[in-house]
Amino acid sequence: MQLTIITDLNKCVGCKSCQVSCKEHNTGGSFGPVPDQDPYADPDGMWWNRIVGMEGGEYPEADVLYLPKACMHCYDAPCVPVCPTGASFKREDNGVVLVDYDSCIGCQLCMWACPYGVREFDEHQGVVKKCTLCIDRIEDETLAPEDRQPACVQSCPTHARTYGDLDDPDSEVARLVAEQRGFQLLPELGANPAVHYLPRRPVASAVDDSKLDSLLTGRY
Amino acid sequence: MRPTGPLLLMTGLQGLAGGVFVVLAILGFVAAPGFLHSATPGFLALLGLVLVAGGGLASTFHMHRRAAAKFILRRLKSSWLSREVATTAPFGAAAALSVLVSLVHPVAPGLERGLFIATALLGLLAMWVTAMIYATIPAMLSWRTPTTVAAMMGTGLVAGGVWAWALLVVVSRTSDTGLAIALVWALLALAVLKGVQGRVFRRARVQVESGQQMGMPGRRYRLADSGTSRTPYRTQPQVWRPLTDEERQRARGPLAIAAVLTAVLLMASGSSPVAVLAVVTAAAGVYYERWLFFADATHSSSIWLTSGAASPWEPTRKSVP
Repeated sequence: MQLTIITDLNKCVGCKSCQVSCKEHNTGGSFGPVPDQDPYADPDGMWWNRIVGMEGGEYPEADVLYLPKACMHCYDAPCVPVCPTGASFKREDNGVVLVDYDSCIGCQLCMWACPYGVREFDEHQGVVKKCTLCIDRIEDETLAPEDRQPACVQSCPTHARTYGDLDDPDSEVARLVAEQRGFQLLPELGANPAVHYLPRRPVASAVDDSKLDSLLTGRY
Repeated sequence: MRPTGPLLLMTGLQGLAGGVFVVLAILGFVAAPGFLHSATPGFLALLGLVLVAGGGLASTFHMHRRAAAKFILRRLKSSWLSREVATTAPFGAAAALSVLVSLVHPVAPGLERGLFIATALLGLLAMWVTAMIYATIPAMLSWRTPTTVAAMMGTGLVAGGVWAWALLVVVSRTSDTGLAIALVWALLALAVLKGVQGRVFRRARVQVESGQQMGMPGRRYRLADSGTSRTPYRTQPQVWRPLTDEERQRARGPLAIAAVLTAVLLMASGSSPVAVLAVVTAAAGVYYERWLFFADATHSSSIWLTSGAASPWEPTRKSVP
């Protein structure tokens, strides 16, 4: 079993509700707190899920893309073997990569090893923290079944994020990846991340060739 | 990545100690017959011990939660950091034994020579393992090359050799010309190696700045909002703010000056002031070399944090206020 989250980049509008709900849940959850350096003045702190904003193309055919980026729960997680104390580990039963704070010495080598920069260093506790796939929610049998999913998935207003078992060919996530050509970030680095993204579908340009010259002239 | 003091100290001092013991082991064979009966080997071993102990002490400051240090050997099978502890500790123990044998309780020259060789080999092993920590991280695009191992070990060996030469000058009031010439040649080889490493670092920067398309297939994208804290990314020390060309030159300049000055001092007639100056220039060289190694390194995640800064595609809206 390999639990994962699939994000449809066609649906993500960059509202950051997943980022905020992650922070809210995990600051008060079993793995919290997720600290800020100075939360009431200049937020410069820890986020386990960050939304990267990108721009593509040139005016007038420019577009924006939002990439929610959290732990990829890689099949060959490079952060795990480098950890000298065994604090970073990958669960054999569900593939979730976790950190045991009691064993972590805060050497940060796992942060160097992670190709995606999704591990964060907690200066207060001296340990490295990261997305847990809300393991405390998904394994909490006191919760209703619809609540047993990561906070970021549950809070997404456009349903861009889908949670499930990638190793189960009948699961929705496996179907989405197979049918819509889900892709991984930086596959050349060999981590084989479980988290996939569904690529942008081409959208017909709103500007035809006849209007292009006049638009560019007006702009410049 | 962020070049923290403990990182610079622990890697720098361990290399210097390794260099000192390699010189001591070589001198055990090639020096005059009376060398092993004099106090000089003891002083050299003491210098090496102080250096390796200093490196060990610095490593404890690199740990941010020492309470878990007792678990550090758990991942010997896969973690080069576990292996570093497992090799540096015996190196330190052998260094202490060398001091004991040379200064406190002399033994037969053959046994002493063997101990120095064993210590030097343990030192080389510890240096190699330390370098492998950095050279085996695929995400550190600047480091994943054999050049990293060669340059790290070479820097330690040459600088440690210069320190050993300086101690010999202070003790004997004359310069060991053979050792000085060998060190100048080694310095020259190291300069070439650093040039090669500079190209690797530059290639890594270019790869991140222009070639990765923000990790997205197909269309090219440029960074508009990193979604992260401001530089120097307090919670993400695997990346640091990218160095400007000016900053890079400001660090390379002193490094080159330190190397040239060290070579000149090695060729000068041996006197205590010259030796002390050589110690200072070699230490400065190690500091600047190591600072550049960490500060100028490019991590793959930089593409989502700093990419675009040096690209012709400037972001239309800066994420950094």
